[in-house]
Amino acid sequence: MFGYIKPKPCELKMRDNEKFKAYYCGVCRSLHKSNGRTASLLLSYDCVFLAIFLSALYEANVSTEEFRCILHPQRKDKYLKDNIFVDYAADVNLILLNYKFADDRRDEGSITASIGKLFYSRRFRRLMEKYETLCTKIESTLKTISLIEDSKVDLMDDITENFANMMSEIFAHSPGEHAESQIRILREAGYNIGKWIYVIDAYDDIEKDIKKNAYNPIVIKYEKKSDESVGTFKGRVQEQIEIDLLKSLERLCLSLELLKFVGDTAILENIIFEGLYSKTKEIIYNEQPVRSSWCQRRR
Amino acid sequence: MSNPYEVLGVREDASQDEIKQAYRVMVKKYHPDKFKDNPLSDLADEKLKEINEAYDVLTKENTSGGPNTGAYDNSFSSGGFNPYARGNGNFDPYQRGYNRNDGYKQNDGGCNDCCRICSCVMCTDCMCNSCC
Repeated sequence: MFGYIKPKPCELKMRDNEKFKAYYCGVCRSLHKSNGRTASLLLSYDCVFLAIFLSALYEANVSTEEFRCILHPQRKDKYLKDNIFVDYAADVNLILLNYKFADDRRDEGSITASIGKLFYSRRFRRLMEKYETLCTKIESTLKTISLIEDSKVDLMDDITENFANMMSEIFAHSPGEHAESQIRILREAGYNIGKWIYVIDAYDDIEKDIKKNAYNPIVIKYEKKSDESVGTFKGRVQEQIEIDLLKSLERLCLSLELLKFVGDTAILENIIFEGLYSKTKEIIYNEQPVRSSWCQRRR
Repeated sequence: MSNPYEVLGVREDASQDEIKQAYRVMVKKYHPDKFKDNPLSDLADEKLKEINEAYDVLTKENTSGGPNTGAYDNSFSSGGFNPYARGNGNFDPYQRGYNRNDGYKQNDGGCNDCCRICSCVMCTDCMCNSCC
């Protein structure tokens, strides 16, 4: 579900690439600090995007410190420290993880998910107290989504709406005092990002869901025939799905134009104008991203 | 109202053409057609209103002769040249006193009387320049 919101590294300046890594390491270390080492292994790029977005929007501390990552002990890396939005993104990461575990345990009977839910239950209870309103809204939204998925009817618009509303709540509940108009714009930005994530994930999972006979809203909405191959079906629906995705991105850009960013927006602009767009093309048309030899070496 | 230069995103010494170009870019960015059927259209309208106000202020400044640095007002308030200070509409810097038929105080001679109207013209009666 998550992990689609990434920058396009080839279009980023080296210093901005280093800053992005500092954000990533910052969220990872924040997860580690508050929830243990294993939580940091379950970090999502989307939560890093949340930290970058909020740090660019408000005057946030962007000082970094060097450290040695346990996964790359041979080199020193930098991480963003003492940033309230990085900490918020880490908390949101764990909240969403907890609900994912609950979802997987219910749908697939996954033992890993059961263990994960049990392991993080105490930490999640602490987060529930800290973000009571947000967690209540996320829980009710995910329950509605589960009900619709279980019914296996064509309600793709309703599911997408619910998921988008959940993301809008995450953006609107970010730390700090916000003006009413600011909250409206944040909700709209979160809503469109949520819509984009849900639709692109649904399209990306078509083949997997058909094989497992799992619920896929696109398969139901566009009525895949039993004798129709996955490739043919995807070819039939890709144009409309692309329009839906680009419409969400357009609305996201419009909402961002109404925000006044005070921080550095280079990474944010790369993610939104390059990263999301190229990910759309990559998933819909199976276009492999162009990677220069420099990018390949960095990987 | 916020700083009009900041609203349009121009420097304070921007030329009229630069201001106009910046205005066009901003109007295009927040045009109502772009925000049609958008829940944030009212916020875009407010932003557009702010842009129009900023543009009006900056173009008004340019037509009245340069950016308003605040010093403009001082020239009328603290003794600088003000040809309209007496306000009778018959400004003539070389006129010596008012028309005697207006009922104004007659010119009895002396610098203070003949140079009552204009403070920057040499008094031609006594050829002094103490009042200029």
